[in-house]
Order: sequence, then structure tokens, then C-alpha cells
Amino acid sequence: MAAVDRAIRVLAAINELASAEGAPVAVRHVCLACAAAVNASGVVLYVVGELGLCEPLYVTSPVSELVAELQVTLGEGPGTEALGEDHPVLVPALGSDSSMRRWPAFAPAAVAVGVSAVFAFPLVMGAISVGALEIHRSREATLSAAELTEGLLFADAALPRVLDHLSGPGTVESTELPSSEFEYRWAEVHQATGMVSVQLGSDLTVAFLRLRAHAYLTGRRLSHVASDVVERRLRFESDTDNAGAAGSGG
Amino acid sequence: MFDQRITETLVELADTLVLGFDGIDFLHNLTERCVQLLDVDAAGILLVDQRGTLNLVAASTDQARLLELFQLQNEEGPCLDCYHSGQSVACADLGAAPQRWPRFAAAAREQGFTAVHAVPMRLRDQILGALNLFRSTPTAIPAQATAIAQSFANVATISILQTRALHHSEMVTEQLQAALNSRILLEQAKGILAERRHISLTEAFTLMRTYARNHNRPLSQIAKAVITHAPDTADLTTSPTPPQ
Repeated sequence: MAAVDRAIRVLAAINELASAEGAPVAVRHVCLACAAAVNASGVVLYVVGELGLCEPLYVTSPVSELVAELQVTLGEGPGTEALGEDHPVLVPALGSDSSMRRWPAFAPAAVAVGVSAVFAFPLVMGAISVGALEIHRSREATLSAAELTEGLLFADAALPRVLDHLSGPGTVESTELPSSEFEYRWAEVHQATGMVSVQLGSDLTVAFLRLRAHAYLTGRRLSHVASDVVERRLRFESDTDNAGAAGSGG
Repeated sequence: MFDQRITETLVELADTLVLGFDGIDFLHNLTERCVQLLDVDAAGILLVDQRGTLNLVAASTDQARLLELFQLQNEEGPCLDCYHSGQSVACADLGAAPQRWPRFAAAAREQGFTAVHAVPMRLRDQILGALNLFRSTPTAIPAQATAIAQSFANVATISILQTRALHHSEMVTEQLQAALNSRILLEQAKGILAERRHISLTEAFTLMRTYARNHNRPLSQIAKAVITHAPDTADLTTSPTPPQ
């Protein structure tokens, strides 16, 4: 059906870039495919670093790098704002009065280096917030409905790759984005994440990473592992080895 | 079964809009009223997002298995067909063969449901999603009940569109994404509360919902407080039994 087709096209564009390089799918492939798909002058991917501050993880152009650096330095801007919120921040005219009031230091500086429209999509899953995907345009312009959908889908695709980055090298690597990425939106996965965070005494991000690592290491689907947690057949304990879970695996 | 409470529900739905719109709370009320007033056993609302995906935003019963039944409808089911056609879609006997939606029908039967009815959330050519009604007895849901469900859905649709009309299209996207995310946040909070208090997920949901009502605060705010261990909800998150 149409919705799934669009999502699959986005994943295919990312996979294609990765396989052309013969490399596993990484954040840069998401950014480059996104820039091409929405006709952006540049794309930035921010990740939440220490102290909850954002830092650029990948940029597709030198101008976008400047804009990203401005935001981080000044501590304001659409990407920074999206990161702390659970909704996109869409700014078709960075030079408008309202934008200048909203980001008095960042907006004029960004316009001066040649970026006039910014669309930032947070990488969030409930209370888990790991970064933001930001689309830059050199001219003032709204995103069309189709481009908006693409932006949301590329943000969806970026989320697991940023989680890969956060869980460290070599933990979960794939040469292809599996279709199971759609599972991220399932109720039981989120319920299990909440339960595991209490079992581990950790935040939700760590709990989700452990759930995902367990699914990967045992070769099971994330939704099945989550189901076991929700049915209380599987518990996670802190300070265990990489197996990541105690109790029967169902 | 049809009495003054139906009128009251319509007024209540309209009031929610005037008094301030917390999308999740509003739609939850609607599903609960359907079960109370329309002689159905479960109700759920799926709204389409800007990705074109149907998302469960509210359900009368908060069992994980039931939630899956709604989620499955991104692949097949009456809600999906109802959303695409903009027309009511019904199946009075999910046990009959052949089935229009074999996977959905099997999953629904597993939950003890035998009849289903979906009404569109639609204003002219704008379709936002669908309201799904389930029943455990294998008879069609009465026409009078589905007609009332449709008027509930209409009020909800107009309310949502009205809220959207007040804002720029950029803001509509921002708010819709926030509403969808708060559904995920709610699931995470349920997990936290269930594990902390050694209760079921359904009980955890009921607790948060009751707490929100008693303190006159939106459900999404209470869920956020559970996740951040906010001190003002310490009485909610503290286990009544001593920790292990």
C-alpha cells in the first residue's frame, strides 16, 4: 500500500547509497539520500551528547556545517529546539520577523551565510530523544506535503542509525535496513522499554538499546522479545554480561 | 441503551474543544463512551499521520493484544478500508469464510471478537482516520448504534479540523507529530508504572487515567511525570508494597 511503499522507497534510496560504497548503512547515507530527495542545499544530523547538548554527527555541505556550528555555539535554532521537543520545527522563512525574534542570534547569522529556510525533525520515540535531522535551503520556501512526508520518513530512518552510534561500534551492524524498523512504533516495544528501564534502573534510551541488542544477539524479532518482557517471561538485570537478559528467553 | 447520555456525550465532546484541547484525552473519552453507550465491547480510533500511516491514538480497553489488533490495520482490516473509501465498513461475522481480511479476522477472533464496524472520521473530502467498534456476539452492530458512532466521529472530526484551522500548516504538522509521540510516551509510562508497582499494564493505565482526572491534569502530562519521576506525582509512582 501507498504509505508502506513510500517508506520502502526511502529505505531503498539509503540502502542504494550504502551498497554503492560497499559499506554498512550509516548516518551519512541517510543524510545524503535525504538531501537528494527533498532538494536541500544541505542536511545536518545532530546527536544528543553529554549534558543533553546537541552536536552535529554528520553534515552534507560546508555551509550546513557552518549553520550547525552556529546553532551549537549560540545554543539556539530550529535543530536545537526540535531536539528538546517532541515535534518538528518547520521554518520556511528564517529571515522573517517572527524567526528573528525567536532566535535573535542564530537567525541573522544563518541568513548571512546563505541558509534561508530550515526544517528540523526530532529523532524521538516517546520520551527517548536522541537527536534531530535538519534540512537546509538557500532560499525561503515551504516544504511541499510530499517533501514533509519524506522528511518524516528520513527522520524515522535516521533514528535506528543514531541508536547504532550510541550503542558503540560493532554492536548492531547491518548492510541493509531491515523492514523490521517499522516495529519501532509498536505499543508492546514501548511498554517493554518502560519495564526494562525499571529493571535496569536506567533511562529509557539505555533500556531500549538493551532490548534491541538482546533481539539482535538472540536472532529474534524485537516485537517478540518485547512480548516476553510484557508477559513477564523475560527480565533484564543490570551488571549482567552481553547476553543482556536473565531468566528464560521464551 | 439510547438515552440522554448520548446527548450529554456530544455536548461533552464539544465542550472539550472549547475548554482546551488535549487530543489524547479527548479521543479516549470518545472510545469509552462508545463502549458505555453503544453496546459494543471495544472501540478504538486510528488517525492517519503525514507519513500516510494509520496510528492508534485511543482505545477503550488498553490490553496489549487489543492494541496489536488496531496496529495490524496498517496492513489489512476494516479501518484501513474505511479510511481509504471514506465509507463505513462492517463485518457481522468474523468467523464466516471466506474472509475479506484473513489475518485481521483471525487476530480478532483470538480476542473473542466476532463482529466489527468502522466508521470514517471525515468531513467532505478530508478523511482523518476511522473509529473502530468491536463486538463479542456474532450479530451485526445495530444500525442505530453505528449511526450514533458516526455522529460522535463527526463531532471529533470537526473538533480536530477546527483546531487545525486555527494554525499554520507548519504548526499542524508540529502538533500532530507531538500528539502521535505522546501515545508512545504513554506506553513507556505504562511499562514503568506496571513494573514499579508490580501491576498489569491495564491497571497502570487505569491508575494514570484516574490520577489525571482526580488532579484535573491531562493524561499526557501525568505520563511525562511518571517517566521523569517528577516529585509531584510521587504518590502515584511509589509502590504500595515494599520494594524487593
